Amino acid sequence: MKDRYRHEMDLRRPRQEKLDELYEMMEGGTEMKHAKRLSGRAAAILVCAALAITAAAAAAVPAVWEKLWEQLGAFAPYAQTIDGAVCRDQGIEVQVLSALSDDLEARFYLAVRDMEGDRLNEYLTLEGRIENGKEQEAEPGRQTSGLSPLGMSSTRFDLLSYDPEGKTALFSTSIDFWKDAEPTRDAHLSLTGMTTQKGYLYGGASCASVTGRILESLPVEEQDQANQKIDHVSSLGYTEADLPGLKVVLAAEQNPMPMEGTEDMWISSMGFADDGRFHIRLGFAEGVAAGSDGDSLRGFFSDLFLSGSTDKRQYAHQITPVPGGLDILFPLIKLEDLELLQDCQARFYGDYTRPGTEVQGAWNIDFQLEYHPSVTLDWTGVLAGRQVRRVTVSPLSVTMYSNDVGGFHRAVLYAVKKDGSTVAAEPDTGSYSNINWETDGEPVWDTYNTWKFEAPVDLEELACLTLMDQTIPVH
Amino acid sequence: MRERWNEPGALARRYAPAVYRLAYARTGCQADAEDVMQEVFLRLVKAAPVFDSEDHARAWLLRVASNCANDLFRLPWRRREAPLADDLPAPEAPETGSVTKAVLALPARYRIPIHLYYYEDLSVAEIARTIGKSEGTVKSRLFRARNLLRERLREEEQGEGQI
Repeated sequence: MKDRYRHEMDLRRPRQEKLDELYEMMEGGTEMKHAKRLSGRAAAILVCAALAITAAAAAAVPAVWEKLWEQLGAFAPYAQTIDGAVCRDQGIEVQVLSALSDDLEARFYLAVRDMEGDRLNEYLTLEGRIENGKEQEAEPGRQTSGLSPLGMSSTRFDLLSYDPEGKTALFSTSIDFWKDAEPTRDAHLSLTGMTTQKGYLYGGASCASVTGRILESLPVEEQDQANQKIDHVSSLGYTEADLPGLKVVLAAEQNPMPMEGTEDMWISSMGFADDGRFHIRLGFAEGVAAGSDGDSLRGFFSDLFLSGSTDKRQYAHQITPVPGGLDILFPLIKLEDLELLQDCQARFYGDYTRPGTEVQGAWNIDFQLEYHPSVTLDWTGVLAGRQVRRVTVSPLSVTMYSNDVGGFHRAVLYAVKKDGSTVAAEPDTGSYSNINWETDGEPVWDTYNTWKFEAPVDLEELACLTLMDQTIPVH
Repeated sequence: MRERWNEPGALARRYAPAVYRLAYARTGCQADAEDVMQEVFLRLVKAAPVFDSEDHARAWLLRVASNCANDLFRLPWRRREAPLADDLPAPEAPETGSVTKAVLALPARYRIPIHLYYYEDLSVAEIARTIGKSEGTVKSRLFRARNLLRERLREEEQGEGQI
């Protein structure tokens, strides 16, 4: 039964467009992150503090500040300017510039500046962690959203810009609190290294130009065969008998073409080799190698993507290192499959190393976070047929606790100001759970929704909230 | 600097189908399983945990997938209007695959343990850690689930299959 179940499950895959959406989100995709991130956290000093940038800071890294205000947009007056959160090691200065925060999310902005050389560039990545917040206990009989053991820190730093004149990079990072945690005053940034040697490839090329012509092929050396990597061949139900007996790679530069999104790599040759199977040979610029940590294959993958097809042959591939690049063999795509390739995209993804500089050091910064605390509205009741038991609002976001079973999560919420103008808030991530799920009883839904304002809302000016044409009074 | 098991993109490439399949085993619905898949990796990006090894990363992803599938997160792009009814049969039966169909017909609390046991090859202790239950509870659920599967498949196959 186990084998049958495994086999049946192997045939089940998410739709390709959903996978593509996910990969885009994870690898290149900052769209989702941007949509989700511009809000922040808590409290006190903010409002105009952000505009009171010190002259010294502005003079030191003006382009970075300019970029920061551009990023913050209408939220700039609600961002906290953090003074003195700076340290230097290895001739590189790290400074936490600003935070935009309420008790749902904290976003931090930091600058990294080379004070002694020109070691940084637009490939800069940071190693380290930013920490803030403390866990909140779930209300009696309720559940947390499940993030609590995982949150309150972030190791992901997104490069927003690099200014070659100021030799300064601007990064952002964020921590989500949701209903599981809450921000605290004390925040800590700890960086242990940075490098410009790390690249991430998410490139592709159309296979439409492939013809049935057999391209010049070269035998694979025995030692290279040992390095071959096979992904998803046996796991897809195929055996060694399905693989070509002849071990060859394509010769270089037979039909070169650029690869979208990078100049570090290109398609050197693409087509059918002497083994009758489809190959793609990648060429690498000088100093470029696939994979991380000098391992030429680790973390580097390839696939063929045939839109709308679940033909699993497209996922099988072998990678062989060749001088100045890689040969990728798709062992299950044969000459008779030429027509299939006309609608195919080859994609290459994963870590690679490139010429650059790596700097190890210790940059530790303690600083104080100030955030916009939310207020709980003095209202509970029935809204569009749902029982709402709690609503909180901050200048940046709204949260709602209810027994909604679907609908709120797609509805735009509006803040109506006393002057009659409105500010929209798009629904953001929330959760719902049947808190009675382990019994045989009727489901009891505990729902948590969040919305983030497209522009900040001064709570003093707030008249009411509206959701699904219903009004939530604000007193 | 970062191993591939600490690189969200590489983890998505490698484990998205596994996360999807676990969610599918729990929900029986392609759209829900895809939503759970998205949510799991969104959490990965947001939480940015540091993994010691690829096994650690896989265990984390399966644990979060199990949580998400049980406590189905609602996403901005989510299409579903109604929540999962926990004790109802899974809403979308597979076109093929009698064992999968039988797993989806199990009470909800048995589906994830049996999937982890059969498909992911996890031990009882690993399943216990993944779903946050005791080993005794997992053993009991696996025992009952296998009995139910045995009965169901016997009925369907009239004694043709061995379990």
